[in-house]
Amino acid sequence: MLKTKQTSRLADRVESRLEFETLLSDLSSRFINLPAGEIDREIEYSLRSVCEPLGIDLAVLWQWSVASPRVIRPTHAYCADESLRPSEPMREEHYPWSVQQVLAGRMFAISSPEELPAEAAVDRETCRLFGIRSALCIPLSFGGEPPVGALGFNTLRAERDWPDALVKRLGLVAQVFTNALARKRHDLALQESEERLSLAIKAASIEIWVRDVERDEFWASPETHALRGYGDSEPVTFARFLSSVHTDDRERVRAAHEASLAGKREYEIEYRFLSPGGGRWVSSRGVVERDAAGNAVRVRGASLDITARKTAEAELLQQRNALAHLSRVTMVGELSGSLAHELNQPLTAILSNAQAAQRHLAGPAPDLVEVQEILKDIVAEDKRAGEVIRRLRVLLRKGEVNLQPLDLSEIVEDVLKIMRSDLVNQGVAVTIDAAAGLPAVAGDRVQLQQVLLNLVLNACDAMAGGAAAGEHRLAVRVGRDEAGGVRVSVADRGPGMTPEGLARVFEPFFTTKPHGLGLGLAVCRTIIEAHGGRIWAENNPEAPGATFHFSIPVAAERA
Amino acid sequence: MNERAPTVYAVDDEPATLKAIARLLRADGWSVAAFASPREFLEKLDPAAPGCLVLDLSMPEMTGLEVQQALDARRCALPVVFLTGRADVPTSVKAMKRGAADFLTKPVDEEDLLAAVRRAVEKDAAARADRAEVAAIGARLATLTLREREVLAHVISGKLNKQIAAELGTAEKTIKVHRGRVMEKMKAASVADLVRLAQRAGVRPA
Repeated sequence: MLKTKQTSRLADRVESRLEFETLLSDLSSRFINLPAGEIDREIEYSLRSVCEPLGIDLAVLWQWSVASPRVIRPTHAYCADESLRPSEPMREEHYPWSVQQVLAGRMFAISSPEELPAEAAVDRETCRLFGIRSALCIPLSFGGEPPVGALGFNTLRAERDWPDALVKRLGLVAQVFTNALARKRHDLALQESEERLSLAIKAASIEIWVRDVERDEFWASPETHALRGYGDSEPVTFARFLSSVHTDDRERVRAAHEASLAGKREYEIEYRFLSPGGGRWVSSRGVVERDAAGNAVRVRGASLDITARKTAEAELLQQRNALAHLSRVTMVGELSGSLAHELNQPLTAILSNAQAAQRHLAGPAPDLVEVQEILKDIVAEDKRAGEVIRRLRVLLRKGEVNLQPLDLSEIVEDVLKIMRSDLVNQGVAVTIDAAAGLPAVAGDRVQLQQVLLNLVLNACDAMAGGAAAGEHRLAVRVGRDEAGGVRVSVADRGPGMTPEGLARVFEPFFTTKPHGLGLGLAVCRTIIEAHGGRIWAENNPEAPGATFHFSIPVAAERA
Repeated sequence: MNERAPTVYAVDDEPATLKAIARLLRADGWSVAAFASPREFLEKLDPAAPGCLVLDLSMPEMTGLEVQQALDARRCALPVVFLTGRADVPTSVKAMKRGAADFLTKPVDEEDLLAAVRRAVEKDAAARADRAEVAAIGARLATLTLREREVLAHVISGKLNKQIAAELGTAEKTIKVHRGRVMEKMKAASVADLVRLAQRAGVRPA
């Protein structure tokens, strides 16, 4: 393959096997453990130490640009004399034949440009242009992959032979460089990937942590230290980590860790921690690693900052409470006639009873037994009036959601009591059909009263709008739901709903009433969904009328 | 004339209010019949008994206005004092147009209630006396012959015997006899008295 002409004295010296092996082992050892950032400098240094004794004038290590594959980048070079350094940049079109050889993974050596084959006319011309007298070109390839470039040795001042032994040794040098460059690429990629991860962690506000159970060490990503107020070099233990958690959530976090170590469940929790910049909410998940015996060794996890979401949720809840309150106030307005009547009944009885008693006592022989009876009734009626006020106050209370075990039948009865006189006035006859022995649901009394009030008021409005005489009937049913909860159904005998109405009736601001706000049923849906239940409407299978249902899970199922 | 003692009926579906109203009325000396059910009241009501009705306006079984209509349908003129929890103008206007004696809002003061009941009972007594008088005149009228009724119609239009005789195609002497029988049967002291009695009985002048 190579044409041996004559061997120079200098080459003889360097080619001596021993010397070169010393050089190679020296060179290899320098690249071991060399930081990626110093590899480039070391390659240039090595090129010089190889080329100088061999009388090589120019050595260029070039690689295809990753960004544009047709561009050749000389990344490392050695020039015996700076005046010899080629001024033109390297272009693939200047060396079409040589590039073909490199791409095919073929090494080649020429003692003079004349040795280039006929098809290498352009290459030959380029050699002449740059004054290249002889050349050796070794493709560079990382472990079986397509070549990424080549290492070229050239003489400019004299022609040169490239004996097989020399080519083999320079091939080894090229291999050392290739490995070093591969490592550099790998290190850069790793560094890049770490930087990207770190960027992602910062951008998404993620904390990465590892809890070493045996050594009681709690490693956390560097950003976490500042965030949680750990000292820069402070050793963080599990206890120290717990102390960063909000006091109200601390026990929950500890229990979640213990449960996950014991293998009871996955570590997954949302909690608050105390940060110098104010409290933050995180959603934290972890995976437990175990040894062969199944003992928990460490927990690896990530915590995602969800403060923004929590804030939005809190605001939403506040708005919902405000809306629910507004809607209750509106409803109380609608009910005020009814409530006035409810108060009037006991007040009427009290006044008339008291005045009857006065008359008895003003007489010559007062019937004290009768007066005693009257006073007893006055007390009873006064209590009744107090009860009306209490119900009104409960309804108007602007409070947080307060879940407790409730009997839905009792709520139905309460609401129909509040509305009794309204219903009487509108000539609506009500039937209640409540199944016996229903389980309690977990609910907020006031909110569920509000939902029922809304449904009953709507049913009355529907019938006032268009129910045949004698058809003002309202049927309220309470029973078990197929899904296992408790269901309340309010059926009217009004005109029923259009398909559009059925589809949109729970949307905010959808109303069919001339002065309706369109909020009542939207609030109802919000309330029922907050109870983990559902609310729906349908036209009665036997017309006329529509039925609104809602169902709520029983208390035990929710806990 | 019926001299029975008046009864005050009280109808209210609220047992406590009904009891208290009834107590107050009794304490004022009235004889009270209290009903929590308007239907039961309509069944037990004796139209011949004088008195009045204290009626709640809004009840689930029947509204006060419906009870008033039922009384009208039976031609029962028992005066109604309405009690209502709310001063609802259209309803009160409707009730008053149908002849409600009074319209009071709850809680009602004893002065107002007792005064209204007193007025209603007096009104009922006057109405009953009036109806009794009309009935008595009607009974006298029934004893007249056809010819005597003809003569009566002409007499009360202010005609002389001669004119009446000419119109009926008979002798003036005959008319004079008929006229005397009419005055006698109608127990009229004078022609003026006869005119008043005929008017009360709804006899139209010829």
